[in-house]
Amino acid sequence: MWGRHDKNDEAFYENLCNQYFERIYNYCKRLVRGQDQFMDFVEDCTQNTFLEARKQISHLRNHPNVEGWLYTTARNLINHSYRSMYVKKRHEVIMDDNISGTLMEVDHELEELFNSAMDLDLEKLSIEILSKLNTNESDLYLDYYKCNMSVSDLSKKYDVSATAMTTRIYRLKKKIKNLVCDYFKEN
Amino acid sequence: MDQKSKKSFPPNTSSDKEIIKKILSEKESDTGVKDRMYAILYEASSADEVTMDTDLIDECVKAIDLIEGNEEHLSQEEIQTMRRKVDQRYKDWLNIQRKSRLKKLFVQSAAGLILVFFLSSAVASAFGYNLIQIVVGWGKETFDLSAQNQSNVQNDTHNMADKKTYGSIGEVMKDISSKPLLPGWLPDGFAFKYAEKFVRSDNTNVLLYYEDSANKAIVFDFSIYTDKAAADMSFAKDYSFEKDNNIVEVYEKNNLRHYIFQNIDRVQAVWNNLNVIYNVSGDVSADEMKKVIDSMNGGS
Repeated sequence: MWGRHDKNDEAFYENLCNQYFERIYNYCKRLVRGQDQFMDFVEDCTQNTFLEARKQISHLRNHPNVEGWLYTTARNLINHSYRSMYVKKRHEVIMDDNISGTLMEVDHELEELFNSAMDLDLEKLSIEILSKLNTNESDLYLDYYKCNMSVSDLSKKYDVSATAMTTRIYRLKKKIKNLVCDYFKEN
Repeated sequence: MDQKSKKSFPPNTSSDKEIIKKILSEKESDTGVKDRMYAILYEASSADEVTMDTDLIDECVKAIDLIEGNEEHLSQEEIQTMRRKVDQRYKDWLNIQRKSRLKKLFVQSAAGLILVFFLSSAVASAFGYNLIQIVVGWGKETFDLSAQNQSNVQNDTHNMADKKTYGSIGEVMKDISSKPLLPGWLPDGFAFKYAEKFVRSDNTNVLLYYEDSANKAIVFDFSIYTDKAAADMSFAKDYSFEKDNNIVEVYEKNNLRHYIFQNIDRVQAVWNNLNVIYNVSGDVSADEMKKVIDSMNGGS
């Protein structure tokens, strides 16, 4: 009985690692805003999150939101690391107007380049760009742009919150913009 | 890792073209979006662990990675390296836990949780061999002493007590053949108050009460088994004494083991000598108790 219990715990922990290790790492990285000097924190906090999970694995098996527990633990560890290092957390990236304006300009230039292409080229280009989307992105593209599904319908279909869905749609748009940008860089 | 789409889109490429044009026409500052994403990320992160929207957090993380052009994934090798470190630290933690448990167990053992040992005392009787066997054991909160003779234990249904109170030690000890050892020394201020005697079929229980002016008390409780009872009768007596978490001290004097322990503010000493079981308790220190024990064994 005890042995089986341990085995189940081990399997559960293994599953947690496989599903969330990279996600928690990426989350920690974002909490320190990807700053290189804090990458050690990111590694440590990711490892400590899973160390805590392993210590409390029996309790976690009955937790109503184990993902939430992992993210909260990671967040607390990052905050604790910040505090213990006496580093003031800087949430805001200071970017001056010139750089921001340049980014807008690049965006504007991209639209002009795309529009200036011949219609035939545009058709080919569209196919090429869309073929570079992964399965999930393609599905979302079809649902949102071709089938005109609303955000609330999409959030129900993909079982995520409306805010998460809006963010996912933003990511799709950004990905398409980047692909167009890459195409013109290469050609 | 994301998989590239194998889907072929509907041949409505002009529509796709229009869609892409529309997407490109939507002007958004990456910095603005990124700040918004961070704001959402931090807000989502501040939720409690049960209601936290982890999908939203993931979306924000991925969106920011995309804006920053930082979408590289952790390699399997990197993940495995980190996981090995977690495994090692978990093993270290388990070792520490194990050592800590062993240490605790050791302390409890020292307190006698699982320590049961036998103390045989020779009964001063004509037969010349041990008639009373004492089994002593103790846990965190009790000290247990079991006394029985070495023959098979039988139920004694004729063991009713007859209680009387006495004004002097001489009176209470008058009819007792095996006289217990009495204290030759007590802490300053303690004086004899009264005595009680409980006569049973197989033993006599004598209690001597001493008090000082501050109403502090010392009680001497003697369970005296008659030579006849010890030799001829089968008896078994279990005594359980309340104690606190402190370790039981074994104090040896005249080849006898005296068990000294504490219960709240009172110090108690229990031991067996010949066919008497001694139980002394009082508002005294352990050192004072030892002096009392010494005085009962011929010391000052």
